[in-house]
Amino acid sequence: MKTFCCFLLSFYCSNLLFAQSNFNTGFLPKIVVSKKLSNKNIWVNSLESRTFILDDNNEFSHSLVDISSIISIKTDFEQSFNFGYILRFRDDKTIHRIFQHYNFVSQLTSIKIAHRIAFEQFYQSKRQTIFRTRYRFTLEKPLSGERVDIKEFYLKLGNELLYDFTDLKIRITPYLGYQISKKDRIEFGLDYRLGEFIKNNTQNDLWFRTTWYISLN
Amino acid sequence: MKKILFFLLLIIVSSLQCQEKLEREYRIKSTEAPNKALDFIDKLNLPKKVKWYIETSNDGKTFEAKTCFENHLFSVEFSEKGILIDVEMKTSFSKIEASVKEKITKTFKDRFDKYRIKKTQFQYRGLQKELTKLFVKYYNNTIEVDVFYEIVVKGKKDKNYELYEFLFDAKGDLVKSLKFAIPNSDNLQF
Repeated sequence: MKTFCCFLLSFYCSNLLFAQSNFNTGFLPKIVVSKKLSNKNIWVNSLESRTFILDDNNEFSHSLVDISSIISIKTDFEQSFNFGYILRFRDDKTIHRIFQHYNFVSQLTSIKIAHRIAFEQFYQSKRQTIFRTRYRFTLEKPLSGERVDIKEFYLKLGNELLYDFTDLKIRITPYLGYQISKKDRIEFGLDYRLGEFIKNNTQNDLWFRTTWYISLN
Repeated sequence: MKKILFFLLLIIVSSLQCQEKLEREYRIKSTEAPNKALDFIDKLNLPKKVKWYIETSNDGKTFEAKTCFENHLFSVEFSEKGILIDVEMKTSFSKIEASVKEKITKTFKDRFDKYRIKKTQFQYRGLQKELTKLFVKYYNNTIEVDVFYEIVVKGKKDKNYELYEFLFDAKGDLVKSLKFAIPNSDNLQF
């Protein structure tokens, strides 16, 4: 019931905003594969695709593909530093992105909370380098018991602020997750993105996201 | 023969020293709990909602009733047949008696290069009649129960951080220690 209310609230909020702004919607499937290299290091690779159901021209179109590779260095089991690279293919353009993350995850009685601070640099030929900062807060709540066990559902709520020194973007992400086995879990949900916030030319995107996390350990 | 005995002893000692804590907990409806356990909880007339869980761990399968009483989280554990095992109360490490706290702290300092206490629970064991008194006045020295301290610690040893659960008796002597499997948080990071 709580899950349903959250989804309903997200839809309601986004509908209010869509009325006078640019709106895109589509699918955002992602697969994340991680492999432990040592006690402190993990290698994470992901593949993400973006398809519009409804773009600015009200058409169905394929938008982009992201391939990423990350080395995550744990300072302890609650904190880590991630260093990564994303290769983005968008139309005939290729965008290179390098990023650095600091993660802090803590377990409360039944809720897990995570903070992520990120710095990103975008490189594209014939274009100036773009720098961006991000902060993300995520909360995970098991729907049964105090921890997410195998074959159990959980709720994940995220809020992220992105600032590229010219404008602010906000992301709200309510997901429903399922722990399939010890090594993999899947999440379904919405990824609502509000852009061009300061310039007053509001851009709304609502993505239906599915992410499959696989651990090869 | 001596060699075999030595190896057997080594296996027993190492398994007692630090077992891996395997635990699964899931919510159930109160109607799924054993009648004896339900009767016990009903008679307490607890002011807040009681949530029921099944917990499977290294020690077997148990039923747990969780509630909030006098600003503390309480967990009442029952066997499969509904026999009361213990009552746990979440509190802070500072609430432990000074001399006992000192002894426990020494254990942690001896075992780890660095440590941080993540969770402290008072565990009460004894007669059902005595344990019931915990819910009349949540803590009273005249209650005749055995007190244990269950403490979850994040400890650093040989440059590695691990999560442990320790059980100390009322004097602060170590009874049991279990190592937790570190939960996977990939979905919160990537």
